[in-house]
Amino acid sequence: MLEIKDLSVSYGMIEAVKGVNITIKDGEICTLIGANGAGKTTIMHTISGLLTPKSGQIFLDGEDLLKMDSEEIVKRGVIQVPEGRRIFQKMSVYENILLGAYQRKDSYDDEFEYIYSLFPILKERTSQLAGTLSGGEQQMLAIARALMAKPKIMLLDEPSMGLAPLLVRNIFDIIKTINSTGTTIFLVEQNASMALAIANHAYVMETGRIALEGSGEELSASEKVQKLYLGG
Amino acid sequence: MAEAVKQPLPVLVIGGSMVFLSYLITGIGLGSVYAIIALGYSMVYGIAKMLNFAHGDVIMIGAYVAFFALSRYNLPAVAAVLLAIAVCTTLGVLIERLAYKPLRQATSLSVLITAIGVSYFLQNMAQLLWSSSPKIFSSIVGNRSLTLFDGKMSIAYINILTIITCIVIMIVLTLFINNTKIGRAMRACSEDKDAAKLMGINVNKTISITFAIGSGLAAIASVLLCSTYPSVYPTLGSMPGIKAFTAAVFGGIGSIPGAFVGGLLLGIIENLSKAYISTQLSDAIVFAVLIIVLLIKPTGILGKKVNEKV
Ligand SMILES: Nc1ncnc2c1ncn2[C@@H]1O[C@H](COP(=O)(O)OP(=O)(O)O)[C@@H](O)[C@H]1O
Ligand SMILES: [Mg+2]
Repeated sequence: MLEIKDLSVSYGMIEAVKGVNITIKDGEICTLIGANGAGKTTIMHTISGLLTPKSGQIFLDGEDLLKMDSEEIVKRGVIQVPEGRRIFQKMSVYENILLGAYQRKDSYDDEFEYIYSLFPILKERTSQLAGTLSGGEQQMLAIARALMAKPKIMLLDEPSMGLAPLLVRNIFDIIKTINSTGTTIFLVEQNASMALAIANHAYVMETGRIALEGSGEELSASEKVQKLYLGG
Repeated sequence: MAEAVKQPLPVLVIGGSMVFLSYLITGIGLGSVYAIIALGYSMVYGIAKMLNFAHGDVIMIGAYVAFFALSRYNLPAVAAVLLAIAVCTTLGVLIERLAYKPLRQATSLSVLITAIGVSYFLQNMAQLLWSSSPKIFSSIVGNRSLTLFDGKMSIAYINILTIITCIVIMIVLTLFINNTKIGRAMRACSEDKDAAKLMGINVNKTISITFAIGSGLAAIASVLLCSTYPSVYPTLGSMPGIKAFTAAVFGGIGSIPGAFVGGLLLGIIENLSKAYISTQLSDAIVFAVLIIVLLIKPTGILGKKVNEKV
């Protein structure tokens, strides 16, 4: 279980996240939706140890993540697929995949097999430079890379960003498949309808604060969410 | 009959080309030293995105260490080189930890000024400890030369050693960067530090390793340099430092083959200019060529244009 308690994060004078509480239960898909600039990525970066918060706590199964650096957080199985994919463009597809397993000391042959079964296209492209992949393939690579770390909880920051609708559906199916193997998912999205459709639990964020919380269905049905995020 | 007529001409041409070849090989030797130093600039720039202007002064420290090891303590050459490598590696890592790491989030101008400060600090420390009067370095392979073509051509052994060392370093380093886990981590940090952190890569440790390698290479360069130009003094590293930095930019900063090509070309141009044009003008010619290359190809000879993400 990942618990975010009363988290506040600032960039200098700008308070991007203001007293946010989020609980992500084991095995579920939890989603965080909100407009551009709401503070979603800031939360993701703080969980992974890229940012130090002003105040608040983040616990993974009772362990304080804020006392750890990003390396230790990765070792605990909290793995992020960052916004904009951030694959290593000048390295091959294969090297990107290997980097995903950087912290692994055990054998990761099974993961190799698993990611190639999820994304057969990557197997055809192993020696290609990652920067030459299409947007959709890059997103697949970013997810495959994260899977190599054998995540306990996978953080996905806007995986559908910039993808054609058919590919978006594809990526959401993959996320559901990954979740069905027992991996907890924390999904940040602007594509609210798709995210709410697959989420067990959901949060709506507005300018640094959690505005609404509920099950995926509850929020899909909420008038406010319909009006603001589902174009209804 | 026909043979007798032909004979004088080839001899003359061979004589001229022998001299040219000697200058060329000396230039390649000099260029090899630049290339080894340039690697330090280039790797650190590629990964830490900073110009370590104290790099030349690490060479100077390496030269003093090797000098004392050889001349005062009569250690064998290999031991002197290893000692210089150990001291320079430690020094490089210490400089990074104490002076640059606290500035990881600072502007590049602050880092640059700090690097210049570190450079002056090392020079003044050397002056205080060992005085500014030059010490005479005895070449690790003596002053012997290899004589070829009945004495028409001679190549200093140190030149041969320098060129071979440079080639070995380039090959080993390229294999290391391309095929090892640490090499992969270094390339990942060079591309995107936050993404590297998300892979569980310890970015600080990777930067330390980069400084260690660059400084270790500086130690090797110092011994080769002082075996060629046998004088050790506190500002010894400045000029080779600037030249090697030029070589790194020339070849494409951040690129290992670029440092190699840039270093060699710089050494060759410098030595041929000295031989055929003017000793005083040689540096001016070197920098003029640099300016022309950068006007034509701003990223250097082997530099790739990259879309830097902000
Ligand atoms: N590096 C930064 N420096 C200053 N302000 C930032 C930085 N990153 C984000 N912000 C600000 O913090 C707020 C939240 O940004 P972000 O977390 O990226 O939002 P979201 O991911 O929901 O679009 C925005 O107002 C944004 O302008
Ligand atoms: Mg965002």
